[in-house]
Amino acid sequence: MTLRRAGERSLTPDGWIEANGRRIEIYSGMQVSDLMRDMGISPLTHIALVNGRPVPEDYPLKDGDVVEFLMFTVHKEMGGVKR
Amino acid sequence: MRRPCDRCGKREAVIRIESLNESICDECLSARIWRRVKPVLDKGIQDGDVIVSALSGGKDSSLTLYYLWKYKNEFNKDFEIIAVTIDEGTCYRAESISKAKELTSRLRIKHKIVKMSDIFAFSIPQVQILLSKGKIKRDLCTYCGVFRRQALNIAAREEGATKVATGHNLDDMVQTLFMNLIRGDMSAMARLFSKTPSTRKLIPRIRPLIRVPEKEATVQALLLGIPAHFGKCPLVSGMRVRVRRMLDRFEQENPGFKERAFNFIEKLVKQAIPELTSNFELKYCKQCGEPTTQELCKVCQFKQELEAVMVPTVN
Repeated sequence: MTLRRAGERSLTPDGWIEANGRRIEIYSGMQVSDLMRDMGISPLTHIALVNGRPVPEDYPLKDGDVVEFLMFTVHKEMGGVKR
Repeated sequence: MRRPCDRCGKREAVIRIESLNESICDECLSARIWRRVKPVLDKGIQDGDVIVSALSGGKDSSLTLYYLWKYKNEFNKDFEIIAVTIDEGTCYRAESISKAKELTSRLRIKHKIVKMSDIFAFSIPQVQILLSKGKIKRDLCTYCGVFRRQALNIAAREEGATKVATGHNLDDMVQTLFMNLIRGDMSAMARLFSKTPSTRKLIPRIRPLIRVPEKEATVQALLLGIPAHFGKCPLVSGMRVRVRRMLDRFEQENPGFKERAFNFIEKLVKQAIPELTSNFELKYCKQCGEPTTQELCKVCQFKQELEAVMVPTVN
């Protein structure tokens, strides 16, 4: 799985990704909401795009997915990852 | 399908609606939003209207323009649409203006771009410099909002508009309601639900997205492939940001809170203070003649503040 956020891009070695300086574990059956929680991103401020298409937070991720988060509102303190 | 729609079961879900505990597909989302937008258009637009659609190039105003276009063309309605962009002179706006141009060209809608500095002799970057030097104390958004509103009204009047459509969504409205609540400004709260007094100087407003949550509007704009700027103004500051953060916390803990709060306050205001919502008193600024609720309009008040710090005084 590849994860992109705000122009950053990290490739996935075995079982984990690095996003914004954080090491996040990727596991089988992981949903977008799990990833958002682990990254500290709120669904109230971000939309998840998987392979370029919007998905709900209960979308199950799988190998090969490209995940992006689009921040559509302000106030970075609210659940957003500090940069 | 990895995540089918909870409503129709036929298509992939694209958005989670937490308050309904369901994830829905693009078609169900479009139908849900249109059910909320169309009644506003039915009520707000009459045959022969000239609608100026305030177009910043952001997702909300772009989606609003698209819905006006859809309403006119799909339902064969007899009204004119003109898009107006107010250019405050920020670098952020330059990016969104190119999106606005792309959209109006695609929809074949007349597009007028008005520079704020041509109307007021101030641009927002100039105000920002004064703020950074500590010469003025208000939030930048306060100046920008006031100047932009009047610039839009003036531009709409010049275009012969009978209505101005803005892209305010449900989240914006709830934020404004709570800001008025915090300030204790009952008149301002009532005006949000009032019919604008019809005068030649103040163009009545319609807000097609008033009942559409921001997240749903964003996903819809993405799915429609509408050329729009999806970021927010980087200069945003002040009470609105703090209120938004507070409301999001409530929403997170009580899904559907914002919609319920909006409906509740709307009912309360309309029932409790009908004399204010049915007709509010409009004055004209004694300095510039523009419509206002005070003796001196906010633009003139702010201009005086800015001129006092911009022009060196001779003793």
